[in-house]
Amino acid sequence: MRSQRWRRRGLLVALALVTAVPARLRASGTSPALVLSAAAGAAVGDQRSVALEGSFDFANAVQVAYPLNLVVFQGSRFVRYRVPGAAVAGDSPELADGQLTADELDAFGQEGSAAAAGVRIVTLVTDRIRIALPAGFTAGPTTAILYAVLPDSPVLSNPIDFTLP
Amino acid sequence: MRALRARARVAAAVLLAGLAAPAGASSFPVFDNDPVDSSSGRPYPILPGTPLILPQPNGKFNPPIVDSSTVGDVDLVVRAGTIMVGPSIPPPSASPTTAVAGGAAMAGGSGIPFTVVVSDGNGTPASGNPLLGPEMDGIPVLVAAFADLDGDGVVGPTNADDGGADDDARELQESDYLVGRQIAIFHNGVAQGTLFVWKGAPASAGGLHVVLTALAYVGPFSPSFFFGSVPDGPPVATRLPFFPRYDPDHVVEANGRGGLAEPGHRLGIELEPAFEPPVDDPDLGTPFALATDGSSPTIDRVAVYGGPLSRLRFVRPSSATGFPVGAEVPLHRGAGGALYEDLSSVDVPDNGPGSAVPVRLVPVDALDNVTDPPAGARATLIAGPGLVISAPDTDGDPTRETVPVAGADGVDVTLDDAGGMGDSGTGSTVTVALDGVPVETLAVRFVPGAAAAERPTITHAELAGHPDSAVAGHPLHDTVVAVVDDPQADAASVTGAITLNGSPLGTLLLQEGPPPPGLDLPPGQVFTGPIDVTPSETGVLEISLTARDVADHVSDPLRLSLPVFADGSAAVSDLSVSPDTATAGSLILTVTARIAAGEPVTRVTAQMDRGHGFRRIAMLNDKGLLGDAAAADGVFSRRRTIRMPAPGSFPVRVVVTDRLHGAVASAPVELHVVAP
Repeated sequence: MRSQRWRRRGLLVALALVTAVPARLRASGTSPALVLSAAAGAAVGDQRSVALEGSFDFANAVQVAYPLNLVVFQGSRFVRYRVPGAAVAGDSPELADGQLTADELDAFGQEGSAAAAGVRIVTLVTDRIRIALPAGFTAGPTTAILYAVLPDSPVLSNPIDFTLP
Repeated sequence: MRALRARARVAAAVLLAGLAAPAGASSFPVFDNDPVDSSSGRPYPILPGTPLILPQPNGKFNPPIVDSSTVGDVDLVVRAGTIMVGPSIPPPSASPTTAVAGGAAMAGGSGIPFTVVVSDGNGTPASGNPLLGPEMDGIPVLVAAFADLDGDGVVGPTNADDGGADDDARELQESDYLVGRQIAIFHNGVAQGTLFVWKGAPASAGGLHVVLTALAYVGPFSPSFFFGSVPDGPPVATRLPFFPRYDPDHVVEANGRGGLAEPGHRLGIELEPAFEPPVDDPDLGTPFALATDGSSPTIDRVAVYGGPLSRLRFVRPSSATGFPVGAEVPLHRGAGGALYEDLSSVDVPDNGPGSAVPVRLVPVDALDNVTDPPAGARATLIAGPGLVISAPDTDGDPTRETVPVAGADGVDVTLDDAGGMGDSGTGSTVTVALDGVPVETLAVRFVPGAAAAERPTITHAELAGHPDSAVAGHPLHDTVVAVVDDPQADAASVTGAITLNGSPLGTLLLQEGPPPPGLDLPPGQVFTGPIDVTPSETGVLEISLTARDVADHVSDPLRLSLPVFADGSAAVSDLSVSPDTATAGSLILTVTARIAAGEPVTRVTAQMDRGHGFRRIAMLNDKGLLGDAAAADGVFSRRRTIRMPAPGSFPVRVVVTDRLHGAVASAPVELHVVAP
């Protein structure tokens, strides 16, 4: 499990990213600071999950159900978890370059279809989210990113790269 | 001591069209007869039932200035439920309403309807009378929920509970960190909405008691004040678990640029104490502790249950000793009122069998609240390399165990290192799978088993006369022999405790000396001593032996057991296992025993003790099947594959059941497992 030093490093990353949010967003006071600071995958047979640490605007996610999304992808294969809502999985050309940008969110949001029943958010707490991944996700390099499409502008977290076991 | 705490971040997501500005501050009846700050002409912020508390000239409450001659009246009252407010404000319900933790569309939450009422503060009744005029129309009110995590009937630190002052630091978690918040808008003196909270506890334990409080700024909206998003006026509140920093500069995110607070949008506030809640203060007493019994007239409470089972997680009991202050520590209230903290890693000594480490696995919902599992819930534990799940072990495979999860109290799991001393590496994991999906990972760090390295080990023990059994009412005279392996060869003594069916029957003291003739013993220091007991009833006579060396290192106990039969009951002889020595891993084991019984036997089982008591490993038969050579010859056998991943010596016995005498157990023989 993650050491305290790793946790401190994660917090520093989070702090740096929060301060790096564009001034326009900070001034509004309305944009959540979405941050992913650590990721750890787990596997039992072909079933995989990942636990992500960071900042998810948790209180608002519980109370007002604003459109927060978590995306996990390997190449162009992705799964998207709407918080709240069902998971969607599929392939997206927008992810082929290994990135997801604000300009691509509209098109990306239309892609994919309902994931299998067991693909779900397992845990959501203040600083951690754990998800069950679709069976198509295999051991290897993986990326996760958070985004929220808000009326004034979309907000994306930093992407985080990790290796699924 | 107090850094960033009690933080509820909220910000309206969009700039909304401004609501109609209410009348000027002087026209708010809620302030009638309230004490006024002569320097500003505005009513003081003052909580109901507490003295007037003011900052020092530098604006800090260090310490707070207390004016006990002025006590706050009631301005706001919050009730759980959507209530019709007539000429009076109903009291809190006799028993708390219930809800399920979670959001409207996530984690299966049910929401808590609430009603906030503006009060005239008249002391009769205690909650005052409702002010149902339009003066406060359009003003938002924040409803904030706080939880009684330790179940002492109070939110916030108190010395009046069983924990006294010792658990005050932990109780700060209750007042410092809210568990839900929502905005509602006043209309004719009433604001209603639905609050979702993220903390709960098992319904079977009565849920988690959560207190609802409310706070609002009262005044006109002005474009020059916080962009017109925050009323320009003093705050009013119900009782709160602390005295808050009221300055909207410190409360409202981004100075109101986010727009008016609205129930359906993201919200951004920071609600922090201005100073740490006093406990048994000479002037203030304990003014901010909130009772959860419904006795406080301005607030109400709800029992919140955990949501549907989402996974299982490892926890450890929470300890109030040395509890940190200034950082949020997730606390989980579980079955029977147990209070847990997260357990993400555990140290396991790498010293071979023994020194196992217990951990607890509990069912939780998607917000990590302990919850009641549905009937038939099961989870699978998978031990990583170098680790074994020593208990429970129902299938003989300590690397993997499927366990039923019958209640919110969860499952006790015992972990041990595989193999011997210092051979497990640096770390491992235990993974928990639910419906095949990994839902929890516990990190295991192997630590040196320094003490174990010097501890003696009883490698062999037996009764010199090799009795298969004892007979109730008849004396047993024999000599107990134990062989001790001690790294320094300085074992000094072996002691024993004799029990019959678990009840003490006597003690033994073995001395080092030559063994009785005719015994084939392994190398080591030999200790012997007489045993002379008369079991009074049938059952199992057990001798638990422990060795001690000159440095006072103590071995793990080694147990000998002997069945005690009534005259005429079944007798077991010629018990054997084949092979009696095997390499760790999977092996085909045959257990054979001769059974002589006056009554027809109904069941013959073989049992093995892997360190946690005898557990069944096979049913024997005398039908010439499954390893039994010949039918009806009085010799019962069974051949089956078992998995023995760790080296060691494991006793195997046979238990025979007949209708007249019940169950009788044989003396054990040992299966020796060696490392590959």
